Amino acid sequence: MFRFLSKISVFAKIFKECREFNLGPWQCPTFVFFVLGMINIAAMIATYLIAKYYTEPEFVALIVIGVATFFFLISYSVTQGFDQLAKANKMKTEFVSIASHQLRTPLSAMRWTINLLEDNRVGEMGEEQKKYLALVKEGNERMIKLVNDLLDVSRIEMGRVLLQPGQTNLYVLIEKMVKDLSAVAQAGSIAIKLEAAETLPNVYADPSKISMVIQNLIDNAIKYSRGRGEINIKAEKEGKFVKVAVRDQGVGIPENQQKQIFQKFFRSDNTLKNQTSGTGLGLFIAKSVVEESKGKIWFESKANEGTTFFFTLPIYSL
Amino acid sequence: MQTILFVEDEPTLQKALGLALAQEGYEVKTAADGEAGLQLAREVKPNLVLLDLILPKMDGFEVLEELKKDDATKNIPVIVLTNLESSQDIEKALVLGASTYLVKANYDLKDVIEKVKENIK
Repeated sequence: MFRFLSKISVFAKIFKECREFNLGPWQCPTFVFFVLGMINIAAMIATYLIAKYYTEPEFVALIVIGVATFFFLISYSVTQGFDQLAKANKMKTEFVSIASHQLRTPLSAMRWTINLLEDNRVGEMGEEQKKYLALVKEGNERMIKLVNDLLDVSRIEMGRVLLQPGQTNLYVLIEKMVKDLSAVAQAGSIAIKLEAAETLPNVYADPSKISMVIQNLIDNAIKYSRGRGEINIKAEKEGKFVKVAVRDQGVGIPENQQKQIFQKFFRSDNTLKNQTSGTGLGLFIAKSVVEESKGKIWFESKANEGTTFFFTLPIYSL
Repeated sequence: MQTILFVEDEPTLQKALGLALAQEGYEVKTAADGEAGLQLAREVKPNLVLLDLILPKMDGFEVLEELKKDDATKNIPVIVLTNLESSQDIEKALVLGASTYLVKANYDLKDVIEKVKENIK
């Protein structure tokens, strides 16, 4: 039934969600509402015609009762459909919550065991061994980050971003992030320059989530600079917002991939060419956090010339 | 010497953090389930409790609630050390009286030790 109707593109859109959730037509609220609507119109026309040509009130009353009963049955069907959708949603949240907890247990056991070794708490480790231990640690950190990102993504999809906004000093956040990432930047032979006034107005945002956004943008800038040029971060007041721009002079984003940049798990071809690691979730999360904070995020990029990512956040006002 | 009670059912975590804390000069008592943890807390009156949330016999929330209800133990700082992270869990723990809430997977041993030093009484 769905496949037949879906051929008509308007219907395809209406029923898309139900098909995604594997709901049958009679469990799908949109489909049932559609049927209900059609029946409603037909019933009203029929009642009018019948009342016009048959004057016996009993006959009309019977028709009306019949239609009313039919509506009642359909409504029951609709509520069942909603119930199914709600249950499917709840199961998804629970699954992610349980899976992330179960994954974190062995990951934290690994992390702390690695800590014991690298901190020399269980004997001295040789320099060679420490090098390989560092590789294990890196893998462990990446897995932990992926689990955290997946949790964030699932919350975003549930419309439940965990934001605790307050008065936030962006200058301090950006400065700290630049300092934290200076070692990574140096390793990539890239200089980071910050152009912002200390008097930058405070914004209304969740500082830890915004730090993540800034870290993600600078991380990307370093990754895709490939030792070329420098990274420039500018932050300034623009009307009721503070605008931050992170510019790199690296490989850029090819034009035919620019539309997909903020999609989940999307990684442009340039990543394969340049062998950078990443989950493909950073920008998806960044976009959700910025927009949830009532700001905007966008970018300008040219292949082989570089990329600039912009985001705005509302200025804090009482 | 200050005493720390560590309530955690995962043996590797118990061993790793227990060892590190002992090396930092604390006396470490461990419990592998909520009931034993609560009992040990009442007996020993530690200077700090590190409390996991998912525990057999009695979960961390219940233990926290009992600790804060009892006059003998209500002033002992409790750090919740867990891998759960929903906003309801965090809120519930803080409302019940936890001093701070740490997600184990996101902290190195030395970071946890720093938090312990900040919160221990």
